[in-house]
Formats: sequence, structure tokens, C-alpha cells
Amino acid sequence: MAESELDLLQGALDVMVLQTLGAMGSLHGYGIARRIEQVSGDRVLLNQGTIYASLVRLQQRGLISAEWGASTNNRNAKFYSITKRGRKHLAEDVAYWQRLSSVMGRVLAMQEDGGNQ
Amino acid sequence: MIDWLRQSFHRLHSLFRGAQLDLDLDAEMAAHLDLAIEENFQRGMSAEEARRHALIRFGGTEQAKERHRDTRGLPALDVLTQDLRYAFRTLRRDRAFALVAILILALGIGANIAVFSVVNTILLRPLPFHDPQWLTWLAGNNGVGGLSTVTYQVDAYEEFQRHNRSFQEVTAYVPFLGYSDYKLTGKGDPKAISGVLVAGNFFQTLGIHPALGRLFTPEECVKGGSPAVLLSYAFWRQQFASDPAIVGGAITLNGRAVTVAGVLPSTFDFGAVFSPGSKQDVFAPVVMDEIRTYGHMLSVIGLLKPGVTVAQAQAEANILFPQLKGSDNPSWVTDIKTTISGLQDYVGGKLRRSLIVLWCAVGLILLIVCVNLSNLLLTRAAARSKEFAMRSALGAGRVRLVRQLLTESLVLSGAGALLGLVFAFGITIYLAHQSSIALPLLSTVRVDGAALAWTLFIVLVAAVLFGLVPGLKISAGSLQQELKDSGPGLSEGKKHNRLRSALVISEVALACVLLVGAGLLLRSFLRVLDVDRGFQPGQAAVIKVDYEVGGNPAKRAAIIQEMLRRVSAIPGIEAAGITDMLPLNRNRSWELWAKGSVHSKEENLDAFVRIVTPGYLQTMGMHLREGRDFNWRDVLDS
Repeated sequence: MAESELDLLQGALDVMVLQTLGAMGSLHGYGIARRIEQVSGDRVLLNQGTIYASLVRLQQRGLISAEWGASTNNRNAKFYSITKRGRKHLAEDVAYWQRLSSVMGRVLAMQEDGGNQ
Repeated sequence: MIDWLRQSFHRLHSLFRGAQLDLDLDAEMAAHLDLAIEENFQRGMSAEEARRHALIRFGGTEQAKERHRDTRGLPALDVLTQDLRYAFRTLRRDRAFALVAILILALGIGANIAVFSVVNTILLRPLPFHDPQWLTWLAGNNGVGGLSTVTYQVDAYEEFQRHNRSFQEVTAYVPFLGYSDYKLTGKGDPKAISGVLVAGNFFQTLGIHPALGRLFTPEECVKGGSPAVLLSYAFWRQQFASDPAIVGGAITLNGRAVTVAGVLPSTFDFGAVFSPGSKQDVFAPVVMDEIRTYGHMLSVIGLLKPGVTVAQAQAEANILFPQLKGSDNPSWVTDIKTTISGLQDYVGGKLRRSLIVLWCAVGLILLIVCVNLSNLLLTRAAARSKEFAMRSALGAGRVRLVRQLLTESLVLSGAGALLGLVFAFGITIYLAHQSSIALPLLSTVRVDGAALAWTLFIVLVAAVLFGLVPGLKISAGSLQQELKDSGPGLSEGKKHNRLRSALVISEVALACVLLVGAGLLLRSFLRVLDVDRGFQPGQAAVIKVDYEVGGNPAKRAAIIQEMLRRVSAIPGIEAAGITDMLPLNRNRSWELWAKGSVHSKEENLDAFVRIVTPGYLQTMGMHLREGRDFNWRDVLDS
């Protein structure tokens, strides 16, 4: 994946992670990655490994917190959960992304319909 | 903002616990893969298949780690420290190269800093006065000619001072410095001290406030007033051990009690600005009425009114001077032709061209250093091309390789600059203590903030100059080419050779320019030395003698003859003579004409006169065309 594409997706990935944690509560990295894949119908944009950069970034910004714990099958894994700040931030992000995607949708639709105008 | 701060803090923090964070991440990723394998396994894949699938979905683990590190830390700083560490390691391995490079750079950069410091002091830094930008220099005869030509008569000075509208203040001093030397008596041996006569408003015009005491009162500046002097700070410290009680008291100069009005600040150095290479001990007010009839005696300085330009002042002077009272007097002819320039231009102007030439010359030297190093680095890079090929095969990008080489050259030029700064400090300190070099403001030459900024600039330019070419060269080569090129048993590729030849050629060309320039300068210098002055001062030494005979010629003759006899008796002395004035000193002329001959008023009858004793001509190595030297029996009426 080209660098610039990845950079563009970073912001999107952050929101997906936040949203997943906001909806599902505490999850480990694999769980978050799988959840996003499942919800998006396995239309995968990124490798699962990229999620860890997103997680550390969100952690540093204080939007999520992390803690080692045992998974369902008794494996040691790091569990992430959204913080209060994270929830506030998520609300703003969701509004922003909804606006953006609707505008993008309309703009792209126009280009498909009237490409020759 | 808070968000940004928090993140920056975390990023900085993670720099110091990278190892622990890496372990943490490793564990986390291992858990991730385990979970994925298990899920795949449960879906019915074989153990092998489950593992393979999990790894594919995860993507490259190293890339993921790299991204994690970049995100959590400060990747630029990381890369920099990595590059620095690597640069230091390579340079340590190649110690001889590093030492030579640093030494060459230190010489080049040191010379540049030192010359910049001088240029900065003389041409760039404002003069050490209160309003240096308003200070101007007035020169008679359009500034052409010797001191007696470009100076002003008292009448012209006073008339101009009274009637001009361009200046807040017009002031003057007597630039004929030997004229105001004094003999200090009273405590211990008599001591010869040098003084300057200045107009009453001289220090006010320059904005100089006394460190102690006061400036001259108007009463001290007129004929018959009580005599007073101001001491220079250095003289006060040396002669009077910084005794504040001396202010207001009296000292004996030339047998006359003189009030010490005050002490000038240590920052004021008259000689540095107005008379490079000389130092002044005391300042006395010039009593205009005493020198009114002496002819051209005053150097004039003006302080412009705010907003008035030099050109406007010049225009006014052009109109005003011919209208002044007395300007129809023939002696005014040089005063009328006044040229006004900024004081800073006057002080540095004569040196501007030579300094800029010098500046360019050291710049050229630095350029040669850079080309030289570029060449050295290129040779080294050729030897290292395999290493670079290997690194780029391992995934190092072109930018990364160039960056690495630039870091190396930055380390080199930085180290060179540090050593160069030491050199420059040494040179400037040496220069600042050379009172015999007649450069203005030389005593204030120092490596200051501006010089440090200049150093930084040089370091960056030099590093880019000598680091970029080899860097680009190396990274541009194709991998295969490099590996083939530097394989055993093969001579080096032609491409390197061509670039290196170009570097060598430019180096030789630059060196030629310098060499020719230096040769020409040296030739002019030798020519100057070769000029026949009519005397050979090489073996001669001069002593200034002060004696007191109370105007008795017989006594004077006896003293002079006795002095000469004793001096001649010293072993090693071949000849001795006395003169009242050395060659190339002040020009004093008498009008001379043959008895009975008639001359028109316009005819110039001036003849330069020196009064000498027998033996003087021989001592000075002067040769008589005809006739004989004086002897002691020659007297006016003989």
C-alpha cells in the first residue's frame, strides 16, 4: 500500500477503531481488527497489523486506554477500551465523517452522471 | 493544544523506553497471531494453513513494528540519532580521514569566521556611538589630499556651525595628534602622554557620557579659561590606579596645573574610530581663538537632524559655504569644496574594497576546502559503494542514503567549525591586541553572535556542498552497477572518474584564482617596498627626547651635542643625529625665496623644512647629490 494512501486511511482507521470500541466495550487488537472486517463485510482496506499504529496513537491522545488481561480462551492479551475523552471525540468524528461521506458521495455521483458537462 | 502537548509528551517519553515498548508490542502481536491461528483452526483449516492465513492477514510484522515506532515516537529524531551514531562509528573507523577532513575544514572555516568578525566590526556593526546613523564626516577639498587639505579653518567651521540647518550639532577635533602631546609631571618620573584637542561639544555630539565627573564647561573652552582635561578610561586605570578622587583634582601637564573634569567610559576609544593604531590618554578642549590663525586645523563631524539625509546636507553645504562670511578669502578654497559622507562610510570606506576582497578570498578558500573534501568523500564513497549497495538491497531508500551521507558531512563540518571557532577566537583576540595594526575599531574585533550565526551558515553550506555531490552520486548508481563496479578484480567505473576529474579541475581552477590574486597582491606589495624613499630606515631606531632649556640657544646646543656624543659612544651605534621631524611626518612648510628676487603672489614658494644636526643624513642613510653634510661649525652667520 502506498504511503499517501495509508496516510489518508489513518484518520479513517482511527475512527473505525474508536467506533468499534465505543460499541463493543473492551477488546484486544485482534478482536478490533476482526470486528471491523466483519462489519465491513470483509471488504478489507488494510492489513491487520496496521491497527497497532492506530491504537498507540489513540492511546497517546488519551482517547483509549489499555490493560493486559486474559482473553476468553485464557490467553494473555492487551485489552483496549474507550475513555470519556474518547467518547466525546468519537461523537465529533462521527458527525464529521457522516458529513464528509455524504458530500463525497454526492460529488462523486455528479462526476459519474455528468462527466461531459 | 492540550491534545498536541499530551501527544508530544508521550512521543518524547517513548523515545526513552523504546526497548520496553518494543517488547510490549512483540507480545501483543504474538497474541494477535495466536488468536488468529486459533480462529482459523476452528474454522477447519489445517495447522499449517491456519498459520499461513493469519500471517497474510496481519501483513508484514516488521512493517507493522516500524509504523508503530514511527507513530509513537519522533521518527525524524530517531533517524537522526541513528544516522549520527552510524556517522560517528564510520568516522571512528576511518580516523585518519576524519582528522584530515576536520583539520582542513577548521582552517577554512576559522579563516572565514575571523575575516567575518573583522568585516562585521569595521563595515557592518554600527559605530559605538549614540546615534551612529546620523553622524557624518565633513571633508574639505572634496576629501582629496592630505590632512592639511581636508581639514577646516576655525572661521569656516564656526561660520558653518552657526548657519547650517541640516545638523543638530557640528563639532570638531584637531587631527594633528603630535600637536597635543603633554608631559605629565608631579608623581614619579615625568611621563609623555598623548592628547587630543576636541571642540567643547565633541562628546555631546557623539553621545558619550563620562564614566566619572563631567564634560567640559563652556568656560573651559575659551581663551583665558581654566584648563581642564578628560582622561581616557585606560589611562585613568593605568596612571591613577582607577582612583575616583582624581576627578575634580588637578594634574600637572607641561608644568601647568590642569583640572581633571572627568573620566571617559571604557567603551569610548577615540583612536579606534578616528585614528587607527594610536591611543590617546587625555582630551583637552581646543580653544578656537588660539588656533584661529593657524590655517587648516579641524576635522569636522556633524550630527544630522532626524530625517535629514546626507545628500540633503551636502546640497545645503554646496550652497551655504560660498555664502559664508569670509569665504572670498583664498584660503577658503578647500573649505568651500566640502564633501559630506556618513561617519561609518568614512571610517570603513577606505578599507571596504580590501576587506571585501579578503572576504571573497577566504570564501574561495572554503570553496576549495569543500571541493577537496567532496573529492575525498567521493573516493571514500567509491570504496564504500558495496556497503551502500548492500544497504539499498536491504531496503534503504535513496533519500535515506543521501541523508546518511549528509549527516556524516554535517558531523565533519560541525567538528571542523568547532575547531575553526577556536582558531577564530585565537585570531580575533590576537588582532584585538595588536595596537600597531592601523585598522579602525580593531580593538573591538571579537567573535560575536553575528559571527556565530555566520559560522552556522557556513557549516550548513559547506556540509551540503561537500556532502551532497557524493551522496547523490552514490545513490544514483544502479545497484547492479555498483556491485559489478566494485567487484574484485575490476577497475573502478568510468563514471566516478569523470566526476572526480571535474572536481579536481575546479579545485585547481579555484586555487589558480587565489594564487594569481595573491601573486598580484604580493607584487604590488613588493613594489611598494621597492619605492626609493631616499632614506633607509632599516637599521635606524628612534627615540623621542624632551628637554627644557628655557629658550636659551646656547644651552640647547650644548644639550644636543652632549646627547649625540653619549649616544654615539654606545657600542654598536654607527651614527647618530637629531631632527625635529621625521620623514613622512607632518608637512610643515616655510616660504623661501632668493634674496632680492621678486615673485608674484600666486607663485608657490613653500618648501618643506626639517631641522637637523650633523650626522642625521648618515644615520638615515640619505645620500647627498652634491656638497657635504653639516658640521658643528656651520652657523647661520658663518
